[in-house]
Amino acid sequence: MKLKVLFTCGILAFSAAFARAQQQTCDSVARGHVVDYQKAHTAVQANSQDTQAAADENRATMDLKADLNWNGDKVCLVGLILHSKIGGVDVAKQLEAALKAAFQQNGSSTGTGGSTNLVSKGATAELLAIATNYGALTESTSGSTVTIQGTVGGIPTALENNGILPPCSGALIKSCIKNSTINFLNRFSYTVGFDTSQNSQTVSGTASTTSSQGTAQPATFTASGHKLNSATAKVGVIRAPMASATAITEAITKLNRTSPEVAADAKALEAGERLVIHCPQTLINDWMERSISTLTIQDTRDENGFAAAWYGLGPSLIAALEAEPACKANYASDSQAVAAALGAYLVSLNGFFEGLRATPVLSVEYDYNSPQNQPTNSTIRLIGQLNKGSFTGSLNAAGSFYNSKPSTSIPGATRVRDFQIGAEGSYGFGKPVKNAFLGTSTASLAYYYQDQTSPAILNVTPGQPLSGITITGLPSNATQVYAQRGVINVGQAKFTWIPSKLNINFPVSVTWSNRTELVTGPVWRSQIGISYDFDSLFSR
Amino acid sequence: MAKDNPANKPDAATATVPCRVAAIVVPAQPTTYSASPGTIQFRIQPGTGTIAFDVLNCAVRESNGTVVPINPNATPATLSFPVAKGKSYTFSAAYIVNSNATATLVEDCKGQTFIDDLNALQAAGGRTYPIVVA
Repeated sequence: MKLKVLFTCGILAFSAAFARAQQQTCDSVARGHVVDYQKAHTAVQANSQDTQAAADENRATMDLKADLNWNGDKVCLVGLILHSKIGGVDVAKQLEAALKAAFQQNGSSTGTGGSTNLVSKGATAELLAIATNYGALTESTSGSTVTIQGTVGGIPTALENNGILPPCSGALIKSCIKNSTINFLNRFSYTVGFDTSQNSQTVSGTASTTSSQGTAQPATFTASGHKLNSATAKVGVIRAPMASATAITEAITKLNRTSPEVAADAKALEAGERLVIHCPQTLINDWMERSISTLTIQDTRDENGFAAAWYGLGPSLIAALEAEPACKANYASDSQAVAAALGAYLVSLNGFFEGLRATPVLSVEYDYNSPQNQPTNSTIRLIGQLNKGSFTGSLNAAGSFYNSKPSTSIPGATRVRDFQIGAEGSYGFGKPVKNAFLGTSTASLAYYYQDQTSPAILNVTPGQPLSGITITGLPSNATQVYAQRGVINVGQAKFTWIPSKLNINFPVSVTWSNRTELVTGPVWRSQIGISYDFDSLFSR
Repeated sequence: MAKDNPANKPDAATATVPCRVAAIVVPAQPTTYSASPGTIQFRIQPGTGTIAFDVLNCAVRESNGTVVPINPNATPATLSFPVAKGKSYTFSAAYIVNSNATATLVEDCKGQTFIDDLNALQAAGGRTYPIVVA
């Protein structure tokens, strides 16, 4: 079964060999080289003394040779081989089979109670489990909260990285996911927080009868589960432009052997080397020369005709390869391995370049919050961000709403909980200073305004204290308490010291607010922290 | 894209260096390159998008398999390595490419000798350049 899946994935993934983009295909690239050749050749025929035309003809010949030999274009030759080999295979059915097999292979996650619960909750949970297994999600734990976050595009990307889904080839496969589709899906991100401290339900009991005076009393129990802390869905409405060439060059310079792109490239190159070891260039030299003769007499204005001529080279290439027993025994599987490895490499490259984009210019976010001991509420937030050199400015505007209508006994309480506006300006020292002491440190100032149109509400259970809050004089039948509503102003100054080469962050901040949601007096806070990137120990 | 890329500008120092490499195009053979002894420096001349050396996966080997060290100062745009008289080498170039990118590989010397036209589709699989030093 596994072998069948690998075979299927190999065939499906060969499309990646063609998949640089819809605009660049093997036949269109070769056609461009033939156009150059024919133009230069005609000029040379007309005037044998035309040295420029002779140089152009020589260059076009080099390009054509490169299109048709292992030293030059393994990608397109592998494409030709697999194109000829798969013939009438129903690719869509193979894709379906590969997916099915992948889903069946996916076992239940082990680990925290929270993750086990995910697996047992049907289709969505199954998708999350698959995504976690294949690396589409990042999972973090802070205290008793497990947070899962990812982008919608992360799931197909992870499946592509693992050879389950093929990257797209406009040439042969329709049942595939284009990079542009994945990049669109990556505009949608989500975060889900689970409170794992309450894997065990909170159980409340009420005596069933008050008439009995015995020492043993019957009681009715109700359970209160509290697993989901918060969920956030975010859409990047306006994306930042692609990174500049300088930023890309800088990022490439920082790649190391553990970088996914470098590791994936190494695998693709290794696969290509194996193919050439089994099938040396000498086997296809004559085929290369014959193919150049075939292509250079084609009418390059007829795109479809040229494409047919290009793919028509496949059978004779296979015949040349099968002339040598060692090659014959290996070239098909080697080609599939090359295509699969190239597919993974291309997906990782797409992720690399897309990852260099700055934060979206404009995003819309929906937050579902289920804070402990408070009614659930939703927030819709508009997030704007501006990057200008070392300066980053952010502006947020949001409205928060209770998910259910508050009790009418709470004065002034409506579904609208509050309105918020926040602004932050931050300055990164890394770009202009480039000094080891300051490294990539940042300094920021932020201001936050919240108009509480409804008072903050706390749910209380009679007889059960709230964690961290002591309320005195509360009637025994009270189920909710509320605070005084008003306007909250918060200001924060923050400096994060990130010296070069130490992989340590020291954030220091001072925060002032005129009040909090519950406490009406002013509050000053200062925070200092330290974090160390342990991954850095293994990345050298 | 190409506007602010430093690789667009020929290095002032190497722009006066005499060229060492020349292409040999013969029928029924892949293109090979002849070179004079010394240090060969290759440079990627950007066209559209990004094509850069994946330096960590680039390799130079003598015909007997001996690995020739690439200059540690190699960048995504340039790299160099020494070649000696009478020996044959294979320069295996690995590239990092983004969609639809094009570029030209040249010898970074006075005159900028053309070595190879690169496009994202083909460069992703790596390219190999056999070099014979006279």
